[in-house]
Amino acid sequence: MAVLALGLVITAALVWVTAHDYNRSEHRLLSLETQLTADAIVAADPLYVEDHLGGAVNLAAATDGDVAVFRKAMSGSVGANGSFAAASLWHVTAGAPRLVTTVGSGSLLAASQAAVLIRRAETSTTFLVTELTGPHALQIAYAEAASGPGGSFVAFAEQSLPVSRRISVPSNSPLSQLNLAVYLGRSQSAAALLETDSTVPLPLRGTTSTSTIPFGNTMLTIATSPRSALSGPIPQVLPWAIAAGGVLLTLLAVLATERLIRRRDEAARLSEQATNLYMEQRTVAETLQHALLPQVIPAIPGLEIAVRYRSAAERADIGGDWYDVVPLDEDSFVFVIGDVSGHDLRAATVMASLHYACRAYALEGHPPAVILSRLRRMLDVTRDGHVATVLCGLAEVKAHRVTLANAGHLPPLVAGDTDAGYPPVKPGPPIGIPQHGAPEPAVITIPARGLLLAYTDGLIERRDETLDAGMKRLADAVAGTSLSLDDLLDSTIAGLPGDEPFDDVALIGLRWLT
Amino acid sequence: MADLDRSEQNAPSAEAREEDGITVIVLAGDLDMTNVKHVSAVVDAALDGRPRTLILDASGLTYMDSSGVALMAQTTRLFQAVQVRNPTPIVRRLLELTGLSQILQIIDENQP
Repeated sequence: MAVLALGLVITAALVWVTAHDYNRSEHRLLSLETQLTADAIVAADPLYVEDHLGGAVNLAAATDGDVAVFRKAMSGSVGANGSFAAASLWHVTAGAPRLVTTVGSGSLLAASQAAVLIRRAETSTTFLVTELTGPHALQIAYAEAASGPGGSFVAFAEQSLPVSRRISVPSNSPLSQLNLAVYLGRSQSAAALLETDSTVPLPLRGTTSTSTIPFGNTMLTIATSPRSALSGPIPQVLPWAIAAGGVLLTLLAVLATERLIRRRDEAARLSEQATNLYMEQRTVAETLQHALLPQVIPAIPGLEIAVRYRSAAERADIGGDWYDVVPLDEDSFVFVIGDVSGHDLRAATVMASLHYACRAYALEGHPPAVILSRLRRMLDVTRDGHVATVLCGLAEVKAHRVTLANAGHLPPLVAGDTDAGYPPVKPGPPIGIPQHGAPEPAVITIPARGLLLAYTDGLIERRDETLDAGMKRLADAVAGTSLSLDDLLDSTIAGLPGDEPFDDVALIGLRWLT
Repeated sequence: MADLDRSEQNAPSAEAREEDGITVIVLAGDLDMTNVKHVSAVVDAALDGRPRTLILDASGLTYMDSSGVALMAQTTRLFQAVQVRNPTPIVRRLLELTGLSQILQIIDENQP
């Protein structure tokens, strides 16, 4: 909507500016044309009257009313030769004015009318202009006075107007572009109209220009309006073209914007779908992962056992970490912790098979080293694409003895009342790599009320430090702790940095009660 | 998605080249589960030449997790001999703790 409004506002502004400019230019051109027309009329009508009528009456006065002189002076401007239909010369005497002579025919001037005009003409410094109305014709009468040795003389000239007051203008004339109306006096009333070529009803409306010029004792008013655009057709249609183009462009912009908005919404919808799918997958993976881990840890007399599993944050895939505790008799059990490389469903199935195979071998009574060497036959990295690190221990509770075998796994932490450390357990290569012979078992002794903590690498791995540093941090956290086993495991996991572990973490803790 | 972001930030470089007829893959950066496939592809490509010995130059490998362990373990099955050259302490310790140092050869050129 904003795009639409902005586009329309810009278009409107452009249209206004163009139209304004067009109107101004039309006005200027029209004024110019009107002035030229006025100048042409000045050159024609007033001067014509002054020249011919004024010239003739002055000659008549100078020759004391010589009829021949006056007739000769007017002959060029009366009748077919000139503008006037008729002319007359009057001698002003003490009594009534005396008609000396007339030239031409069709005079509408009555004697009584002439007497009034003669008195006015005598006091006027210029010629008088009067309209005469006859039964079939309209005329303008001009009267001009002159004094001579034989007294004052007044001459009249009468000019016929077309009854319709219409004049025609040749199409090649500059005036043909204009509606022209010439009025006698200031008023643009129908009665004052002298002549027009207008194709529209008068008075002229719209774009008009008016000019006045002196005409004897009165004036002529010239009103014009353009018939078509004076500056040509292009400036006239330009505002409309801009309006149409602007609206079109605005609509295109609106369409383009709409499309972009729709695409963005679509992208947002797809993103939401993907997020939902991702969360769903993550839930499935977590469910599967937890299903593969033992739900219940068996109780072993004289021993406290706790386990933890934490899946890596923000990961949809599934980890390959596992742990297990397999009781053998009332005093001994096998515990296992392992980590299958990779984080996919395949890794989880490898984990499951190793987990259950390990449990089976343990229940058959095999020692840890044998369990691991049998597991080694199950997995081949070149065939299965995965390796697994596994730590397997056989714990004898009363004897405080643990027999360990290690296939590439991190060593367990063993802690007493005050100290904690990593007993040496020589690792063999990870499961998945063939190795001849069983791994070397290590037998360690757990101190009184001692703790054994087995874990996967997610617990201690950090970027930019060796595993030893991570192992030392874990040992420091556990050494001399007064926390319960559950709290200790929780705090160990809670102490992991927020953005790590990137990997899953599995933990198994064994605490001897004696 | 998080994987992609992470791998873009820390993508390790792995470049295979020949040194005296022996295939050497020079590793650098952080090698973890998010980008191990990239390095694995380079190893697979190097395998096409059927070399008997592979040298992994780990002098620029700043970090490696169990994914890298799995990858290196796999190379020991694909090549007759695998040498890890000049590993950083982080990588070296990881190879020792996971038992990989028993099945591949660690070469320190800096120490006599």
